[in-house]
Amino acid sequence: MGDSNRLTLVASDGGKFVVDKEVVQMSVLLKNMIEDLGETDESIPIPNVTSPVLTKVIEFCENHRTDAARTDGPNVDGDDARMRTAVVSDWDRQFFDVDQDLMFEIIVAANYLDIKSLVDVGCKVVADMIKGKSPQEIRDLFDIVNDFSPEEEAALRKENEWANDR
Amino acid sequence: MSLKTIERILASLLWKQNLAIYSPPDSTRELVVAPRKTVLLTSLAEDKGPCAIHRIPPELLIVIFKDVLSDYFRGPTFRISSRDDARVDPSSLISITQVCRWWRDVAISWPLLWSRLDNNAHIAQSATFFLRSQDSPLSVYFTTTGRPLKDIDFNIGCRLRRLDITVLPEASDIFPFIRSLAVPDSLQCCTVNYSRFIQIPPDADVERVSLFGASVLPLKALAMHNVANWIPANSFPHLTHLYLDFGVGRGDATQLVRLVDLLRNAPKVEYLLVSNISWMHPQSSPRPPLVPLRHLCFFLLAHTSIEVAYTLLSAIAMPRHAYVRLDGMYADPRRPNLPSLPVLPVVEETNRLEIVTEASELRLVAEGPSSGLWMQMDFDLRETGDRHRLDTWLLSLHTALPVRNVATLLLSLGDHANLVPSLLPRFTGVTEICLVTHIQYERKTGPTDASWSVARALYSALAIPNVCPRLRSLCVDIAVGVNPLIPNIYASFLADMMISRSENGLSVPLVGIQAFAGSRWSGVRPFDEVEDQMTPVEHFNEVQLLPPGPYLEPFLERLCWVFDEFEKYWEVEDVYKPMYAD
Repeated sequence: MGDSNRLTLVASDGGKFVVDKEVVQMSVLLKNMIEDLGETDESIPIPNVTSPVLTKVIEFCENHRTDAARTDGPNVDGDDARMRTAVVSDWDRQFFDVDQDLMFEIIVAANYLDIKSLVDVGCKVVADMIKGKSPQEIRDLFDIVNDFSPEEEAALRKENEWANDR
Repeated sequence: MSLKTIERILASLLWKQNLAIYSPPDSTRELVVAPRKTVLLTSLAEDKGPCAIHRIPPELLIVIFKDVLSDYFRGPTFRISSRDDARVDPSSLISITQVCRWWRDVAISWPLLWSRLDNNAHIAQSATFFLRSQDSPLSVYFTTTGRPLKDIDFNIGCRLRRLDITVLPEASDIFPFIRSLAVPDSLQCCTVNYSRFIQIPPDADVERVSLFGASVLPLKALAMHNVANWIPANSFPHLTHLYLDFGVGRGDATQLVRLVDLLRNAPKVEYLLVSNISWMHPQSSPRPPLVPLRHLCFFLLAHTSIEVAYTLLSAIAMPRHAYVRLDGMYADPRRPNLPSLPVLPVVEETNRLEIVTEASELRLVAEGPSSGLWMQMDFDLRETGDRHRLDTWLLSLHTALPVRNVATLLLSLGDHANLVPSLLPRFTGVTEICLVTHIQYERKTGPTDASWSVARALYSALAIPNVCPRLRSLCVDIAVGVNPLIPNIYASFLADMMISRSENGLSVPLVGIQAFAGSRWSGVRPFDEVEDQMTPVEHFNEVQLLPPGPYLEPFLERLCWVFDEFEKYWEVEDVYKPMYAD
């Protein structure tokens, strides 16, 4: 009989991770799954997440395991249309100091696993990278191809005209 | 032709339609294509090229956009002083839509991004924003130098949720506009801001004006700034947020009366901010009938004479479980005494009290489990007259506060050692006292131990039988400022107190003395000298000498004075936020 406070997650590439249930329960998806399964020694497969990404996700959850539940997320859909953004600590910034492939895979995995705090922090880190940059600078930063046609580019320039005509 | 190709073509057509910024607004077309757009976005997401950021789904890209545009979405202040402050700058939003097709489609598919209209913006921008906002609620930012509202009124109708009106100095009479504009029932929030104070003529009364020509308005939030010469006469049965800053300038004695009238017409107000009510001589202030504000959660009254503040507070019937903050109060210098604090329901359950007297201010914070009164008043305590008035006022606190119920007492009395013997015996239920002594101010005008001697006065007072009989914890922070002075900790007085209380069966189980509180330096030698002073109390196990370091932080920010809901409609500037002692 294994430790009832721990369980095994299996990444898409077969990597196994034994983690505390308390840590795992930051994921709403896994929390619900654990509640449905009850006491079990069975491993939980995470088919959409690779080992390197799952390693980072677990690292984040372990670091934030004592955080109070975060209930304030970005919200512009409410009556007041005001923004609330996640607080990004120095640790969080260092955590996301990885190559862009891994960074976005972590965010996508967090979204899949329903770990709101990790999604919020990841999106905030990306947003901070974008803020204050021109469209071309953003393209350069993320290696985005400018796929506008010449006609479309001309129309965009007109948008810039009215944006600056103030 | 494959499905993918068809979708590509449709996507291109759709993109061009969204870009049709000079086309006349046609919400029908936007609504027809909107459901298809969702499918196209999903399809495009699967084939967006190699870059990593394009692997994230549109819902996450929208979250990122929201964060990028956090400044754009920040609730505006209601105190706008220039055209630049009033405008809605869409440049970051425009940048996002010009990176690539994918980003553009995602941004345009999110109507709330486009829900802010500005009558100073290019007509084509307004048209485009209106079109892209689809059915979402609209905010309109109206500046008197911009185009007339009718020019951007693309059948706004029931979608208008918020209207921010900024009256710039060059504007002509705003009343015809404010009276005549018909607003829909959907309007929830309205801001009227004069960018410059409008001086009221000496013989003029404050005029009552019906906003938007209606007797009843459905607003939930109303803010007005620099509006000294008129006040809304409407009834506001649903209003929960009311912010009025009358501006710095001469008003009129009828201002308070008109304000009370307005409060009477807004019985559901929960968050109330009133600032800069005109000073008036007490004799001229009429006493208005009581206004019931049963839903009040937080009332911030700022930058107003204490006499007027008391008059207003006395006019409101407020609930017991609410918070009242009086900030930047000032007193009529001609009066020999300060008026006594009125008895307010919010202090009935006070069990924690802070009293801070610094060189230029008094701060008094009385808190109960779910209520409180915060009062900050400006003084010049180097003036004998002000010192006398303050001391007298503090010694009369027991008439307005249930001081016997106070369990936690936090004091920073500057060099007002004379207060301690009279003040302390009234706190019969206190279990915890924390005293901070601070010499930053006193060193300039008096002996360096003027503030340390407050500790001596405290020990002497506590040595008297039956003073604070329930005391269980005493903490004294002795600050020396930036210089490594050796503070006098008056250990012999402390020892006398310990002996006296022990003899009377009233020992204090925990006494902490922190010399050099707040000091960033950690000089070993000065600390040793303070340790040497501890000889008289070294055999009292209850007494601990704490090493240099940060304050024990008795005046830390208190969460009970932070109200997220207070900033639901407007970002509140620092001038309206609570200030804490160092």
